[in-house]
Amino acid sequence: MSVTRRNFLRTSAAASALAAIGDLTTVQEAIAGPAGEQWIKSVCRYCGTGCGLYVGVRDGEVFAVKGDKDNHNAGFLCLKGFLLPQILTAKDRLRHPLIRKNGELVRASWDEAMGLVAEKFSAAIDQHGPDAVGFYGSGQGLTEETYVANKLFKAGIRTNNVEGNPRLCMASAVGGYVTTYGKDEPMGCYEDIDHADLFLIVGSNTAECHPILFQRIVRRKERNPDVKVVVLDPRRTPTARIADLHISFTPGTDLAIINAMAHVILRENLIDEDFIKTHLSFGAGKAADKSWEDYRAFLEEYTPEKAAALSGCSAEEIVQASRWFGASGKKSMSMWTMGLNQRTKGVWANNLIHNLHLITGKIGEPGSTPLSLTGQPNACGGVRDGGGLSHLLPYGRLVAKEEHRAAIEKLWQVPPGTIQPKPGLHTVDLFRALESGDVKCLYVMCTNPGQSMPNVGRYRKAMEKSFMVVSEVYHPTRTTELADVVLPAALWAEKEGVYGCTERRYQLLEQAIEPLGESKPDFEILCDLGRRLGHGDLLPFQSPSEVWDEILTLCKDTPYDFTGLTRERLQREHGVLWPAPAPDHPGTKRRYVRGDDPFVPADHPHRIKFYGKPNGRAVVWLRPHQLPAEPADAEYPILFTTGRVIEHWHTGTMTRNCQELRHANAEAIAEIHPDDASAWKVKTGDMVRISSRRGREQFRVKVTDSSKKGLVFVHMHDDERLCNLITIDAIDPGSKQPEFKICAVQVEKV
Amino acid sequence: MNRKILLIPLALLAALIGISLTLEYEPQMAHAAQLADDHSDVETWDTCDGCHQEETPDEYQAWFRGKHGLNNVKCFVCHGSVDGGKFAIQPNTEGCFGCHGEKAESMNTPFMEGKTCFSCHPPHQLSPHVTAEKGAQP
Repeated sequence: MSVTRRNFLRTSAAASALAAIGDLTTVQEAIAGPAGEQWIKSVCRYCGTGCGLYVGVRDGEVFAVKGDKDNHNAGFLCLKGFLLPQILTAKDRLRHPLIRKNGELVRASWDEAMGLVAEKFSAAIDQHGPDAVGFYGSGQGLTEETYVANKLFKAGIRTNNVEGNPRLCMASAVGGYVTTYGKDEPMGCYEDIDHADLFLIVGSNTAECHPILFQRIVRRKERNPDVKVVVLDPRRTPTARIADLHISFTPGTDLAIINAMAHVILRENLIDEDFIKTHLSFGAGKAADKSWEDYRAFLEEYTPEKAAALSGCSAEEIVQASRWFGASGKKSMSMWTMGLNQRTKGVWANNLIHNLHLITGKIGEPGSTPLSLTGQPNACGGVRDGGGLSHLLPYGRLVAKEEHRAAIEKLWQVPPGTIQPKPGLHTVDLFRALESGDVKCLYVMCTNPGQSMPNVGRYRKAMEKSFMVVSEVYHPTRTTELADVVLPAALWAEKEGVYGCTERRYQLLEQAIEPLGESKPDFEILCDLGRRLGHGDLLPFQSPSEVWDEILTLCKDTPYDFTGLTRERLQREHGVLWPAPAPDHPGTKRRYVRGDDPFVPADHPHRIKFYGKPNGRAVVWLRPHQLPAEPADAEYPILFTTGRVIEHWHTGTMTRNCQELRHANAEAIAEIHPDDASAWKVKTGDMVRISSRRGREQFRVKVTDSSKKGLVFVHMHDDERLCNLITIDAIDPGSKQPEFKICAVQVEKV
Repeated sequence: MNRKILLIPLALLAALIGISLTLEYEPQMAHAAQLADDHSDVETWDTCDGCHQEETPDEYQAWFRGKHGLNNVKCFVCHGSVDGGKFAIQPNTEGCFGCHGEKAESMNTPFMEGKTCFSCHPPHQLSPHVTAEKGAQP
């Protein structure tokens, strides 16, 4: 990075001078440096925290980034964010289209490549129907890009086979919010961190996966020594460094632990009876037809002692965590990610976290909220909210609901009945349909399923045999190597669009530089495809800004309503939390809360209204403990889990193209507990072969007592050592999210 | 003349005044050749701190126990990559301003003349107190 102190001084002086004197039209104008440098307002490309930053441009190239002190991250960036300029000029950047000829990917013109895509898709649709094709998108795509794809496929081609990688990471969180409150997306916000007295961090290595949020928790704890942190994680991750209580347990037993926490909260009368009577209903299965008494009876068997025996932690730890969570007058905030979501009981696990907040009434007040942390920068804004999944339509509408289809058909100005009533294939089934041949053509945008799918060996074969188009920034990746057409996509600062992060904050990423080589924004590529397939009238857009204007018409009169977030406002502000239904609405920090959420009447008799449910009551669900799909057994006696490290992100296509990161924790290492290492006679640096019922891979060993006996951890970022050859593709029956986090393996020294 | 057109030259003038007050400063860079000497056998599959816990324990502990260690601001943020010639044993303060950009303005004061961030914030430890970690002493 070529940022000298002098450069920073110069731009800081310019920015501060201008900030003092005026309301210039755009931020770029306001902070343009006198030497032709510009600092363009944007958002980090990596995780779902959505840190604001400025992109420094000199001579048409990005030379630096710096944190946006006026955004929620207060100017801080994590070490990946620092290095973002390198991803733009990486040696692996694809600069022109490729098509496969005689088994080899060779250079082609845009017209030749797009002509081939249109020809193959048209042929498949004509011969086999619209459901013979599909789209697989990403929580990293811009909102406008996902929107255009969704409209093209669902209203143009008329298939609901529109999926995205958020199915692999956030679907269970969605299921939890929808089943408990009736609406997706968290009700709280990052500011709650500044008010919480207790943090319950479950299945989240926040320190490495959401470093800026972790830093905010640290700050809260440093300034308020009485603040407690409880970390539930089988591994002693860096997050556990700030834990007052780290509860390690056998993977897959946390539902019992959380139910036991509820048991203690009831036993010790830490509940909020008024809140329970006023705001809650109770349910089991799919029906909210149970009672408070049923719930009490359900919890009776979940004693701390029983949960401890099942999970391998101590009963005292469960009791302590429960007392801290339920302490009278204290604010409690929970956070979680893939440890809960990537499970065959992921939705249930989410429900149980919500239960804790509901029975204690610790929700909807500053510092008391259940906040699911998102993994990708636009999984929420683009895919979840925008309806970019096979069962969804934009802004909370469902494919299966006739009135929802009708509403979208009217807004899209397409004939009634255009949108097919049957939901399309969810991600795992979509790739299984490639395998069976039911889906002939797949369009992949901004994601890397050839590395990231669970049980990936099986699906790599399916991708190889079908006609697959991959719109991607880099080549080769483990997906482009299987593709028939690879389209060079513009990256991050080379295009403009909106990201929506964990806390419902929508932010505009402005274009800072021109796309590299022949690459194009996915928005342009998709509009081109639409025209070639005969659906140009559906996609008449000249710019992403025009797409956004149309999006504003779709969110209107929905619980998402952000019609106040005009493009001009997004340019001016540093992110706004929806709902924001009017230009002068400040945004909503806490949903369902009177005086904050515009959909709760000012004269509502209670401080909170769960308007997502027809009766206004959130549901406490009776969810029993159940084992994972593949627990350890005599044949496969070790548990295998995967996750992230701070230096890398997802399949590493970006971070492994950064010089400093390429040699920092880039190789997937098998982290093994010393007792296991001793039993298996391996030491740090040795190689082991890890085998599951699906596949095997070799990894170097790191012996560390931060691991748990009987558990092996491997990070997911290595494109040469594929942990997903081993993981299981069993899915949650509700969310359809795979259980990446737990499977059974054998380990042998090689 | 509309307000926008009037404000831009004013702004540029203000910015230029700001530049004229800045200190001239050239970063200190270590030689790539020294890197090769020091890290010719480095195992890059592990993290820097994986080795330096043992190789330079005082520096490692100062970092690890400080806020930057707790918040995982790792070695290469300041020291650069172990390959490619951008490694610096004694790094400059470029890395600081990525997060602490607003502090750049405070460098432009007589008090800071001849000083860097490290004059007041000891390398590796950087910030004096960590209290969030269980058992840490303020």
